[in-house]
Amino acid sequence: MHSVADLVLEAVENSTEAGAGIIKALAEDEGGIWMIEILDDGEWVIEGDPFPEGATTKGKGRGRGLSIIWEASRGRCSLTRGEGYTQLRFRVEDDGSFGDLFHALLPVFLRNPDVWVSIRSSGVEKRFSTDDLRREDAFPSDASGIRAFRAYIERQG
Amino acid sequence: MAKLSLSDLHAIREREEKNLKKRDIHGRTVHVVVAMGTSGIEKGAKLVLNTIADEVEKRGLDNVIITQTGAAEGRPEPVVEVFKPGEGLTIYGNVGKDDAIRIVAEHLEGGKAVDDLVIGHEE
Repeated sequence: MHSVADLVLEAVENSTEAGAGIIKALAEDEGGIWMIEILDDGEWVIEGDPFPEGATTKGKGRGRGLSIIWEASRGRCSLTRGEGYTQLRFRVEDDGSFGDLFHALLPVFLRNPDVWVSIRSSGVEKRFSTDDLRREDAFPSDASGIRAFRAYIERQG
Repeated sequence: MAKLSLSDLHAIREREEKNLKKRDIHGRTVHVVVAMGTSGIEKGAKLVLNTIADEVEKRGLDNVIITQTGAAEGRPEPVVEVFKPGEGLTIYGNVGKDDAIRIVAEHLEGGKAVDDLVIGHEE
């Protein structure tokens, strides 16, 4: 069973595996429902229906991330391709997993691409980015970086 | 505040990369990799990764660097790999939260592999 934070991580992983160099994630609290939007500049390798039949951005025989998101969102999701970018949007019930932002975002920021995350809830927007982590030496890959990352998240929150 | 487009983000990244301080992975003593593909996440790899990060931070293990990778195909996930120069690569499988704490305490800090969790070893 995936939490909302797990689904965001799945989407980021999916974008990463599709070769994305930049990933932009938006999570918006719509009153008990999270609207998640993931925008990336990865390759588009989807053929046919992207969701129910286990289509993959990772090559034949791999990757169930999109199917998992489709199931978790009960079909409230879309995947579209623009000029040079892919947009994934889905809506899922709030399970409180964004209440612990440190543990929700640490795995997201440990991935290689540049990630930008915007979380909007109760009229307040919090923004997090790989560039901020670089500037603040807060990349959470070692003890001092994890401490700095924790402080960064708490400061934003 | 106006939304940033991907082209905006590309421009910002190019600008920031000039100021990037490259992190030195190879200078570290111990390298830990957690497999975070779909199947790993499904079986709790996120909790394992976060537990390892919490423990490394709590114990102040500055010689350890943590990274993550995609699926550990064909292995029992969650999978954690520990690389130590001179010792090689130790692969742990079916790792849960308590196992992750043991790996940090006994292997990363204590220097001895957690034998009952090991599923592979490469020199």
